[in-house]
Amino acid sequence: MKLIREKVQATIPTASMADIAFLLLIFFMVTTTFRAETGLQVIIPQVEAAEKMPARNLTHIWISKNGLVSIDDALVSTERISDIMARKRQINPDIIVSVKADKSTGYKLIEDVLNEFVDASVLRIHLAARKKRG
Amino acid sequence: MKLHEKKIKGAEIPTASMADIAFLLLIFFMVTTVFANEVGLQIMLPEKGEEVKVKSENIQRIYVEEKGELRLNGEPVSQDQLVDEVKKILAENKDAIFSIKTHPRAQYEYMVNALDKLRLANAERYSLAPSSEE
Repeated sequence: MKLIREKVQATIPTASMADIAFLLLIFFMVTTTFRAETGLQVIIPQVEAAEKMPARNLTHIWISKNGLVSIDDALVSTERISDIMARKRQINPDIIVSVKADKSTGYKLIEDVLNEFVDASVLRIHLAARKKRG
Repeated sequence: MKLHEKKIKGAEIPTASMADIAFLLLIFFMVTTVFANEVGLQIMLPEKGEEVKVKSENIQRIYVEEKGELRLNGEPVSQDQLVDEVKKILAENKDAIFSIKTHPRAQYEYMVNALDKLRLANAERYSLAPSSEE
């Protein structure tokens, strides 16, 4: 007796492909934050006790090692920081400033910038750093 | 003469390319996504003009020298020693306040390192002393 095997056409179901793609698409759309600013070239310090930075109410300030300060992609002089920050604080009172300063910046400049924040009553500061591994 | 009847075609939206479109968008968002994984050290600056009276015996002074050496109440310490010393002080006096004074020409990194060590030792209360003050 000879058995006849029916050959079943092997197919990959593609009907749900679009659904899967759209699901992933929506996920990435929601999680995407476009880099609004380019900032300055800085090497931020490394720390061990790093905490996660809050994602909301954040404004960035870059301080490069040769003393340039950048807010919103504009180079500003140190004295003007308090004005800019005071205006930002009026718009959003819960503002948190993320300071991205180069690790070899002189402390004098950092201190001046921090004092400007105090003048503008912007008190929540986040010093950006990289997590030290190992 | 009778024109032939128009064939009514079932109106259909072509869905075959839907997955392609979705995947195209998906890949775009995947490439442009930067997950917010920034970390750093959070600090709270004091209010302007606000003076907090602290018992002088609670104040522990940490000096960050120009070349990054650390001194705790005048005694030179290494970075690793600082963590242990701070833990020891906190065990004895949980109200201890650490005041970090940084040399104006010291690099920012040194100050961040000192701050990091305080964080590692679970010190909750610390402040950044003005560097100009002698």
